[in-house]
Amino acid sequence: MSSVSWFESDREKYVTLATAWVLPEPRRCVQCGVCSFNCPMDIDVRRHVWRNEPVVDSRCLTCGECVKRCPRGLLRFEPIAAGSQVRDPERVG
Amino acid sequence: MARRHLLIGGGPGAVSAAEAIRGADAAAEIILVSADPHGYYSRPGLAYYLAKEIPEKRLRPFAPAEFTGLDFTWLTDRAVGIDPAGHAVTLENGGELAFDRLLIATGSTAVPARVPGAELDGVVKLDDLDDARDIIRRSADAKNAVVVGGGITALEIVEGLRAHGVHVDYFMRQDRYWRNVLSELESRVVEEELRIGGVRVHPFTELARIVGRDGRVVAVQTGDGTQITCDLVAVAIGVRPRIELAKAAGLACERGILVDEYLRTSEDDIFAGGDVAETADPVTGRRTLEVLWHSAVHKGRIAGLNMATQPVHAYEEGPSLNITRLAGLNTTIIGAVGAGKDADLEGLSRGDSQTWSELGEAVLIEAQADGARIRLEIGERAVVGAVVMGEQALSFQLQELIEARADISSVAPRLKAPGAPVAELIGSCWREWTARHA
Repeated sequence: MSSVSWFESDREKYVTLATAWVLPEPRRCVQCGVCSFNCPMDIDVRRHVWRNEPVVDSRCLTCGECVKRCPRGLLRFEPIAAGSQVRDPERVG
Repeated sequence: MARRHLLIGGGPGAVSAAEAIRGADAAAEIILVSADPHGYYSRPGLAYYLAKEIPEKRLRPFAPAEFTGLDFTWLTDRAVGIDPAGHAVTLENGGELAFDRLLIATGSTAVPARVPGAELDGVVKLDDLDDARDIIRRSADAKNAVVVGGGITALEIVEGLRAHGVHVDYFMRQDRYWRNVLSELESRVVEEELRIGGVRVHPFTELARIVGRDGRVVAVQTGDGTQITCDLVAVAIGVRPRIELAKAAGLACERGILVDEYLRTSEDDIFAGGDVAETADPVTGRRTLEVLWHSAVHKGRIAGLNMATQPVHAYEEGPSLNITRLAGLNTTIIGAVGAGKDADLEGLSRGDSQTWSELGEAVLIEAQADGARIRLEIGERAVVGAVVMGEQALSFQLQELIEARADISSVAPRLKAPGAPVAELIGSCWREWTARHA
């Protein structure tokens, strides 16, 4: 892979990080844990889905691993709604 | 005095009920009795555990602290008797537990094969974590396996065995896979994917006998007398709701435990949820069984709310939905998509809904678009069912349109035209519908 494509990939990530978050569709979730297992930052994505909350975590790289790996396709990137206030279940417990 | 809620079962029905009860009544006493020694885990996740995609510890969705936060008691024991009049449950390990409200969410169990040799060592099923561990343990030494049955579970086992390097012969009684839910084209796609994955698919093949030596499986014999050498025989011919306890207690049962729209059984203080609850449509009276994770969660929540308050929360059944993987293909099934019975299954399999095979008059449209194979079943004015294989973006839009029974009559003629841009038309229908209902 050339260095140019690395930078392009990083730029895409940066744009995604700034404007989007991972949103779940809890009706499709069977709590299998594939999303959490594949998160490189060890974020418990499954817990966000169970609570029907976007993945709001300062450690989230928006790398898309959970979106890509979910065997039921229930995670997706969505633009962050303006003025959204959501609690972070990673911290509240 | 705090009300005592007793929940029999350790799956999503019972756990969702516990959450709902605690949410509605901070003072309630909640006791959950489960015979499964492994606690709460994702039953559908067993497929990914078998296929080596997740380790066993990931099957458990909740950390112990989260359960503690719900403030309930989890007893690993088996309920062996219910006394509805005395409001008490007898446990296998002795003792009796009194209750004010009781939930029965005992799930379902695999139907065993009824052929000679079915009791031999090496005949396996996939009901729970112990079964998954058993298949993995046996796969280490097994070279060849025969899988019989249909629906999702049969293929979960096939994929799991292949992931462990076991050669698989898959028997189907009729010409194609899951014929009362999938179209012929979809069945063929799945079968072809299985063959590409190294599975030997045998249509029109009946398991007649399992052959053993020294108590262990060594081969199977088919209906036409052919013998196939194998170390394992996996049986996935369907599941049956565990209703014995309810029946013995005198509760009204048919295929499942009969419940009203509030998920109350024939006894006022006893509710049922999950796979065992046989619901009734309040208008048509049509009774339905489902073996779906989300239905179990939904029923558990509604039953829990009614137990904690008053029976005023009605269980509303929408079009059934499941997203699964069939031979590596992500597949969403929504609403009514098929008809009749599947000869490979006795009743339902796990991840199955009775309503999928209750398709009435409908126009069939099959198309390929953007990495997806799409099937629509179009009723008088609305899409009544859909199957999406592969790329899943369109399945979200179809789910909403089908659940809302959205009127698509304005685009129906264009959808039915040969070579119609199905994804585009469904997309514009969905955008129109969401704009109108924003």
